[in-house]
Amino acid sequence: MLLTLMKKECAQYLKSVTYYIFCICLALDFFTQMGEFDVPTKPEAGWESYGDVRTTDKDLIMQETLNKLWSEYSTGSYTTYPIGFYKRVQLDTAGEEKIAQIITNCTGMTEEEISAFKEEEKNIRESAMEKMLEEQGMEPGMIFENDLPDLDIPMKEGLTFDVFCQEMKKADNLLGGGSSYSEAELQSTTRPQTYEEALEEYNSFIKKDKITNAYARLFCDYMGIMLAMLPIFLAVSRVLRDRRAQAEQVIHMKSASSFSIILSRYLAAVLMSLIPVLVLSCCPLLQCMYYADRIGEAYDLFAFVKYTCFWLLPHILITLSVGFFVTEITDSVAAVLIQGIWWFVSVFMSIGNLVGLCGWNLVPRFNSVGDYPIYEQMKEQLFKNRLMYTAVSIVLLLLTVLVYSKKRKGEFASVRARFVNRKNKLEV
Amino acid sequence: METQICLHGVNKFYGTKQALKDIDLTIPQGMFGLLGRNGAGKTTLMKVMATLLPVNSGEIDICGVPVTNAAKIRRMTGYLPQDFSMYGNMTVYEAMDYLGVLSGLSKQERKERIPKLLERVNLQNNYRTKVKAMSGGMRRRLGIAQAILHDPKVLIVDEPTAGLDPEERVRFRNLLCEMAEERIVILSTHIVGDIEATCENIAIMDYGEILFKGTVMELLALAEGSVYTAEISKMELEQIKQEYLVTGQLVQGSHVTVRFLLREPMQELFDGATPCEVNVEDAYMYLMYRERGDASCF
Repeated sequence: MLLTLMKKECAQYLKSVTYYIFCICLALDFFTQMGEFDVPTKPEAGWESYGDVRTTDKDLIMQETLNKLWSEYSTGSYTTYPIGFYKRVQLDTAGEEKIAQIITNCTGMTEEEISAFKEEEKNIRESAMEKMLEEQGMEPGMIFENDLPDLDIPMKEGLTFDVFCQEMKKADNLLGGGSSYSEAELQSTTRPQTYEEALEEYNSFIKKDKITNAYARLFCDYMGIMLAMLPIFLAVSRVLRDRRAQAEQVIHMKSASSFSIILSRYLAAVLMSLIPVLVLSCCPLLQCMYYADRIGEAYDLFAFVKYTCFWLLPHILITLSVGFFVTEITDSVAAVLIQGIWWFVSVFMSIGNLVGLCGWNLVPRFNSVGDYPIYEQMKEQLFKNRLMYTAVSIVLLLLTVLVYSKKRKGEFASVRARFVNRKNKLEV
Repeated sequence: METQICLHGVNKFYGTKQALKDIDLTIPQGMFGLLGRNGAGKTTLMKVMATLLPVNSGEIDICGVPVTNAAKIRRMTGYLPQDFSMYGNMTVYEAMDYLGVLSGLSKQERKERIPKLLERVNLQNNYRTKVKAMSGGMRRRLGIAQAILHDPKVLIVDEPTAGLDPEERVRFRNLLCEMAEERIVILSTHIVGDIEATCENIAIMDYGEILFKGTVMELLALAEGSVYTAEISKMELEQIKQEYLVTGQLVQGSHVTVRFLLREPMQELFDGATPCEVNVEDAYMYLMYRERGDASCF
């Protein structure tokens, strides 16, 4: 029965306008975001730059971060991205004093020494500007803050990374979160990449990722954003359809178990959400295969299927589960709002770190082709993340079956009537 | 297995509002009519029997199975709700097939039964008609076909003729009578004519209570000797309405033929009033007046 019901549900999706809008949105996202097929080129010795790479060098992280804090403290203006949106923070005198204290704790400098340092930096920057104006014939408006030299602030002797992180956390809290001093930002400190490293990264792309896996991750990044939201519409419209079609009571009266009814609807929604994703994945797969053939390298034919099932399927499962559960319990479109807020927070919180952000985020990010070492680092957490969302989806699905089963027996109707009666009494 | 439905001391509350009050009823095989005005509790009683609503107290046995055993009851009961419809973009056949799967029928069973049932409800030429394109009468016929798709022992139909044109109503009533030959059919309605034309056993409900239960003949006997007709002038009509319970009036020129009920058994009559045969409508009105003392409906 389950399979037959599922087939019938799938057939219903094929007649649904909502489903075609879902497919069009996915396709639009894919074609506008994935863009052209840009393949990383093999680095050659002697290039001016090989790009930047994340560093794990604690001294460098501390120095870069402290320089940044000093720079923002000097101007009295701090840039933050709470839930992903740009925000300029200006602290009051007490706040500034606390930042100064943090700098003192990290540098070991007194306030006077800090002022002297500030003066020295100012002089250096002024002379650098004069030099640029005179020697290079530049106009004042053509010189940007970033073009001027920064002084490395001396670090306090014996300052450990843990203590530094704690100090930065204090600064981040003072600024309301999402600042350059948050843990995620510390982890994404970069340094210039060397030729050897660039070559190794390229080799990883060709040999370890077999081209296809690297593109599959990028594909998952873009599709994941959409699949953490769009399937909610399929779920909500499916659940509300019975009531809208006045078919609710007839279906409730049939002998099929609540488990079969809900599971068939859920699995059909999962399958129908997966199909366009798999179809779209054929485009980059074919491009990768063509490229790999051209350069005589191997490719992984199942890379996109593998990543779709491992990375994107939990997106679909959790979004549909939330949709089924909330809609079944509220008989409204509240699930769209709930998922929308969750999606919004998750996507915009990751704006500061688009490559390798995972944690317990609904939408793990990996907006890069290659970066195999970063993927290696996040893989374990990504696995845990996906497993957790799959488990939550199953729990929500079982709860949906329970709610549906109670609704079929009219148990929710009594609760609702009691509520309405009470409301009427209050109004009287 | 016994073919009857027994309700004993059934009470149902919606919050603090009591929708069913101590219902005791036995429904035998055949057509059973549940009559009452809108809001009398008919639909609630139907839903309770169809396992769609839980009761607060009391017992219900459907052919020997307690109503708490929802899975078993659903296998042996067909239900046509008042506002039946299906997904608009499904065709008649698809809707039947989908509901057949939900009823646990195999592919073979569905293939055999659906064409037969669609023919029985005169929808054999509408296999490909979309549900959204069907008229009210066609939808009701589809509703009845889906309700008996799994050959249930009990068929519960809630207000099936409301909104149908006279021709469609007659066709539908005949269809229900055919169904009742092999099962219990409970027909809920506020249209007295439906009951008169189809049911032998009936119950009359009002404010969640059973006011009457028995055969149609027993109901008619209640009003025996209380129904009269007379030809009066238009001028006298208002006075007659004050003194008697007028159930019908036919104006013919300056004269009116009135049909009325006595307010009391020994009420004095005027010249020209002649006794006439009681119909279900008279008996129903008489009962409502007797039990509720409410003449506002006259």
